[in-house]
Amino acid sequence: MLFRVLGPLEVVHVDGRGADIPAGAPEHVLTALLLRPNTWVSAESLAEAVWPDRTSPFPARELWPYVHDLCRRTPLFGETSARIESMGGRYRIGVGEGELDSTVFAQLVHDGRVLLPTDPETAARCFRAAAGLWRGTPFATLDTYHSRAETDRLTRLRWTALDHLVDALMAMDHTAGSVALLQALTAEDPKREHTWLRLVEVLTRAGRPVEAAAASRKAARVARWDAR
Amino acid sequence: MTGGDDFELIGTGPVAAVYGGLYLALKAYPPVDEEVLDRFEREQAALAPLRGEAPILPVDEVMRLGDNALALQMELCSASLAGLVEDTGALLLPDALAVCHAVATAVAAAHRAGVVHGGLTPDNVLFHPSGAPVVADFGTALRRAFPPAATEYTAPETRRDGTMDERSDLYGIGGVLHLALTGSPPGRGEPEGPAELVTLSRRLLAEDPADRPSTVGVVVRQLAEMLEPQADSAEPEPEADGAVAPGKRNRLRARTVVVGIAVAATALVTVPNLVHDQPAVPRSAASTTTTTSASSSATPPVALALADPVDGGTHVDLSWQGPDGFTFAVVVAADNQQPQVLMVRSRSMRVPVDGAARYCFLVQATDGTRVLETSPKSIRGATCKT
Repeated sequence: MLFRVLGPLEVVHVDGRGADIPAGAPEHVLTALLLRPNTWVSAESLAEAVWPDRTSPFPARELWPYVHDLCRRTPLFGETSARIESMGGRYRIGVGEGELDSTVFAQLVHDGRVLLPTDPETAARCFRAAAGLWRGTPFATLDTYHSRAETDRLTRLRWTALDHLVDALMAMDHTAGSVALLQALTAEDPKREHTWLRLVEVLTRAGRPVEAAAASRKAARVARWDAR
Repeated sequence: MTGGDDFELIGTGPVAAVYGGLYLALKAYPPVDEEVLDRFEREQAALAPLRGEAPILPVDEVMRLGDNALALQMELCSASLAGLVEDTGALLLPDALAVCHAVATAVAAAHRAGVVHGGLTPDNVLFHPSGAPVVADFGTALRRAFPPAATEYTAPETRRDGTMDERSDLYGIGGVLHLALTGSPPGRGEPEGPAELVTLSRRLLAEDPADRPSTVGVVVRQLAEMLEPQADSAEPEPEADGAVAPGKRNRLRARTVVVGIAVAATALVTVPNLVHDQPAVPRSAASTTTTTSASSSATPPVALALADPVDGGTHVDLSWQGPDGFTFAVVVAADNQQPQVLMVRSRSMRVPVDGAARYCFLVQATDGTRVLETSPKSIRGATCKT
């Protein structure tokens, strides 16, 4: 994986060396391009993402030095071409299969869901691998409607993966593992009612009624909080 | 219900029926379930602090009728952008920019408050009786409960899977801009004008939501820059979330279209007396006059008094004392112009004015049977006809 956006931006070369991407505008240009891999993005869009507080009168002219510099700093695409292409005031970052963590992440969650009914063990490995790619809020350096929507989509996808990981563990009768995972998740987001309800269900099935009742009270409290 | 308003049906949409009274409009919805009502009320609570600060037509009252049917009461704004364009065609460039700037400003304020409009069309871009554009019908709670039929202004993703988000609101602004500039909905005709305006219109209407401008704050800023070309566009603006600073918004001049619309709207409400050219208005020597129509002599006298107007250059602040339970009408007359009538329920108002013109103001009040009227007050040395 050469490009990692599920957390602060990280870029590595093929040999594993970290690429030096200066903070500020260069980092923002690269992050905004990785938001839409293999897609042409207009100079206006890119400039707005990088400089949200002003209108750039000549966005392509202003972006060019950064794009040029980023091509030098990033690993080549397909080992021969510049990573970022530009044409007629638009830019495109080329990303091959397995090179960007957000697409690998989505693929793993998808594979896990397909496998879940028939092969919970492999499915659990997919969900665990997906969750393992997560290092923090994606695209936190950008603040556009589209970046926020992508952040939300990936965040929801991560919760889906974790909920399904519980499903897979339960299908494999790993009750203790499910409880431990759910307890960790309630600690991470104590206001998420779904996690509490799931914990009640798992504890009840595990024959731990006292703990189940306690979790159930928490769930009710969270639901009341939500309704305010 | 306030002030003896008689309501009659003035429009039916696919879901709600709209009733109009003298000053108020009532929008009646079929029964909704508790959850929808909750979500709707949360949206209204989020919008409430924006009242008076953004050009959003607020819902004044949410009435729950029997069997959970819902009626929303708001101020009556009879003129819409759709109606205006139907009557007179595309707007002049500065008017189109001013109207769309107001629309984008309203949407920006709602987005900051976490509320999406969800169905922006020229039909909910209305003109306040003062002539200022306001955007009505914010919120997705009722729209999701009663999904409206798609129109030419519906974003492709809303049409496809019902998505209503901030980016689909940008498409709606694009549709409104397109209509204002060309007289036709998107897809018919191409906007003409400055290159940056054509680019903005094309980007707002982009098929892929990710290709639209990055936030509505960017749209507000770009429209403001086009309205004020002398502003130094290279200088970064410090305000948060791309909103236009209040000082800047105030500098936008009142446009001719605004005055024209105000006159059209005035004709729709019954105005007892206008300040100019009405020499027959009975008036006592005191600053308060009571014109009583068919009321008993037992009615206690009620006082209505207008304080001296405070001239703020591009606006004038008016305040008055008046009895409870009355609805007020402020009559604004500039020299050589037809007077405008602004309906209010509070006892103060900020009236946008032309910085160069002279004005007379007076306030009328009615509780349905009695009509009170103050004597006029002037600014900038205007002579008021009485």
